[in-house]
Amino acid sequence: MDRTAWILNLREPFGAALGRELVSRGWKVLGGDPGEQEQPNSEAQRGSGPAEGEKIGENPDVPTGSGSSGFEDFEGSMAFGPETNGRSVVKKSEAQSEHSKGDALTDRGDPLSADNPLPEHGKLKAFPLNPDQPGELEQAVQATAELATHIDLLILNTDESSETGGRPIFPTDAAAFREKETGFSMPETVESRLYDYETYALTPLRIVEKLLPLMEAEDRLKRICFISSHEGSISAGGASAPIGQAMARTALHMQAKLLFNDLRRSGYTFRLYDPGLSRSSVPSSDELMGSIPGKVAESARFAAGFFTNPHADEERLVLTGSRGEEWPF
Amino acid sequence: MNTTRYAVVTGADRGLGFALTEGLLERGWHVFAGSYLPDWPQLAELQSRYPDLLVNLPLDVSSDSSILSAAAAVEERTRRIDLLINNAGVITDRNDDSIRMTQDYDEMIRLYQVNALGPIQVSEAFLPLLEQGELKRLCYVSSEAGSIAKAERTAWFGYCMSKAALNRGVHQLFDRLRPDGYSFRLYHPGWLRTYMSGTLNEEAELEPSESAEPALNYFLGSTLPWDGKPHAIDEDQLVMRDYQGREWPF
Repeated sequence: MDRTAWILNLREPFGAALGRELVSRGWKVLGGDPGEQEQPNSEAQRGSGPAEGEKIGENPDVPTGSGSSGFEDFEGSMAFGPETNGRSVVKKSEAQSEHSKGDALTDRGDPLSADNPLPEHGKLKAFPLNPDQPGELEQAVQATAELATHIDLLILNTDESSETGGRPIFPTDAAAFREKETGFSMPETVESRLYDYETYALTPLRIVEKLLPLMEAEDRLKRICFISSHEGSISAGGASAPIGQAMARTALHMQAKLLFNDLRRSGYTFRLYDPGLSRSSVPSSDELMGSIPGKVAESARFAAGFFTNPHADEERLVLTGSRGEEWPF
Repeated sequence: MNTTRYAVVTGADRGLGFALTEGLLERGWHVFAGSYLPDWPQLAELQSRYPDLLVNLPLDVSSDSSILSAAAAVEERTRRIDLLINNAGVITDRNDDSIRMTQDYDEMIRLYQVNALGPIQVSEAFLPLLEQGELKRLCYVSSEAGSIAKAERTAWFGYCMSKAALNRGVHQLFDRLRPDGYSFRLYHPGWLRTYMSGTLNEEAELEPSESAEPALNYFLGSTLPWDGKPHAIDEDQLVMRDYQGREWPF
């Protein structure tokens, strides 16, 4: 059976890695991202085979695939045939050079070749989706409906990549790193706190509202997954995160619980996941900072299984970490 | 030890905020009452009864400039406050809109600004005055609707998200300020006959004064009655308690 997942922030490193994981497992993956540009020729599918640039999820700093420890290790992985994700071979040095220009995730377009048909499990498509832009959500929903008759798995990834204007989640960002090391943070404003609320809580709810009609079929998976952080745990979230961000993540947890209470009765199942990538999760030493891309890949791999497999107890909503640990609300 | 004690109460025009203000005045406190409704008469009447103890101040907790103005106005009159009660809150008549209905996001933002961000912004603005106070107590009127663990509702997105976020924000302040000697109270007042939604809710269980009395005992005291005996409040744990002293999980 054709299975379709929809991922918010599909170009953000974790979203991209998760998208690749799902594609490798035979899923069709759609999604919205503020970094996505409108394509002149909007194609439903990405091409496979040789291409000049990277594809979604092809951030060379984010290796993917079981046992993979780096981008070059990933090349030729049996788990991900090179055609499965329409990805071209990009040397690490070239990729890093591109990444240093700040456009490592930019999709340069790669027309589908009739000689290289895309395998069924290689479908992946991102739509422009910036909540600040009026009408983009409606357009993304319409485009989704044109490409998929249903959505089985809705993944609300609220982490952000720095290139989309959001707050960086990686301590490689100088300001974030300084904050973690010194405890000193730039003052938050009402505006920044409202931005956090829109980003982490309201945008996911807007998407659930709009995409729910595409999930209603009786014989489908009907699973909604929230990507969050233990920073939103009221009692165990600590004090290191910006307060507006922590509050907004807590609001997201409440939203997940309310939707769980309502939609569970209609056969929906839920996941609430902390990928372990927030600043308070990531060690601050230079040595460990270098392993962050691997941590993203590892967490995405866990998430792919966690999101697609049945769970022993679907009657409880639990904030689950990337090692399977349970966080209190 | 200074016997004169100063408190700030937000949302004091009516309902629970008014009852808390009145209760503090009866106990001899100097109160700066945050007023959002200048035409509502109750605070003016109270001021005539306690002209030496009560100061009414314009305060819209959803407005940063209003908060800063109120803090400056208090600072003109006193160099310290001992107690800050963040009571102001709003609810909406769109609570029952399920996810299958069109949601009102502007209304959700309004609730978040008043119920969640407002108390945090107010706390931050008054910290310099609290720092000089003796009690250093921060109190927050939250709600059981902010308990994720106990949530049984199937909608109420704006209100429940705002109160859960408030609880998180308060816990962060607790984590940061408790080492400096601050103490905290997080309170679920019960279902009150108030104007929180704009009109008087006559179906609710409690009069504001019925909740204000246990609230003030909790806010001002260091013990809680249990099994007929007083028990010391553990100031190193932040818990949400209701008007009957019961603890609500987060």
